[in-house]
Amino acid sequence: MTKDKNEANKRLIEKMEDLEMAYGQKFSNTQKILLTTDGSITAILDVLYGKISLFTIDQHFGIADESHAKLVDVDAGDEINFREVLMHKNTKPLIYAVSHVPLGRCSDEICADLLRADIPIGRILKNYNIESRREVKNIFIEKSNAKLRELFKTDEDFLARDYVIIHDGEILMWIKEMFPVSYFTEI
Amino acid sequence: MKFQGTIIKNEVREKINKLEEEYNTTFSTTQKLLLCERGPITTILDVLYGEVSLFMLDQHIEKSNKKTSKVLNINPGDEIDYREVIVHKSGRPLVHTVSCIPTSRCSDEVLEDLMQEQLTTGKIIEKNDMETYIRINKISIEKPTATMEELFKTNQHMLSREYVMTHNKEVVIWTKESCPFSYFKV
Repeated sequence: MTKDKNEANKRLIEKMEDLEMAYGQKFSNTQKILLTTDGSITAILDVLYGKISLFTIDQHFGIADESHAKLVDVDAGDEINFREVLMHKNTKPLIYAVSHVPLGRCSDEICADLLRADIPIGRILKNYNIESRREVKNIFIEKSNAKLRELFKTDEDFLARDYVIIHDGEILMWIKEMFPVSYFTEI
Repeated sequence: MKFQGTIIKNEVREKINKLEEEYNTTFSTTQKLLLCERGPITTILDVLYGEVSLFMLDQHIEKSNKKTSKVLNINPGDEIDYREVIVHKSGRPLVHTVSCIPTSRCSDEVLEDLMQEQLTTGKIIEKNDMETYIRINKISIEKPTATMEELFKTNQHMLSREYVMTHNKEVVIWTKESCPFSYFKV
């Protein structure tokens, strides 16, 4: 428990530096900003590229297994909205994101927006003036998989982070965002 | 796989574009990132410059005037904590920040943290696990105040933004951040 608390309190920039050390590579300022921001990355991508689009790859309701339940702090067997999206600029993929939202913690209006494809989660929170806080859990490297290879047409490693959005003291959503390590190095 | 989807609306970028048109200028990516950020900008400054520091220029309790009571949605005369700080890297000023906080909406812990000079308001919010909603109200280019001219050693115009944070559906902080127009151009 103590270790977890210390990790959670570690400044995000230190987490980045640890990752650079472990991976043996320096990351760009833009990559670091995307991985450490407390705000919405769609706003950052928008600034970098102009208007970007959100494409919903998959969205469905399902029952949480032990691993999903742990991420959002619900009981296994509870119902969760699973969402997989790709942010892209004129079909160039930029960031892949997956989210888990426990339905028991959503108001009817949020549930309705979740069902409507292509609304970013940040926008849903904004639409309803939802007060929340974000806790970045981990910043890490993840190996590519078949789906990422198909989307990004690369088999390189991915930079990733996962975080939770907390509302009324409970986890409203768990989100993981990923992009290839060669992305956002020039900007 | 062919991607389609919906274009994401970003009102802050629209405000930035409007300002760029008005002043016939183009902001740098870093300037835009700082203007759009919905979390603490010290996180971005940490990334760009290494760990940045805070210097408290002024902190005192005062009665709210017409302007502050309007932005904070409190009654004129209510007590506020006025905080003026400069975020700097090794003595080089980066961003000037003024915050006004209605003390009646703060917990004892937050009031205590506010008295600690090294804690940014972002850190105080994080430390106290406060759930907030941020609304960026204004992005502007303004003439510098005498304090700003002295701090930044320049009389050039300032790029500024003003935002409020709500907590428990009430405004708990109004903040104005400013830096010289030529800063963060790269």
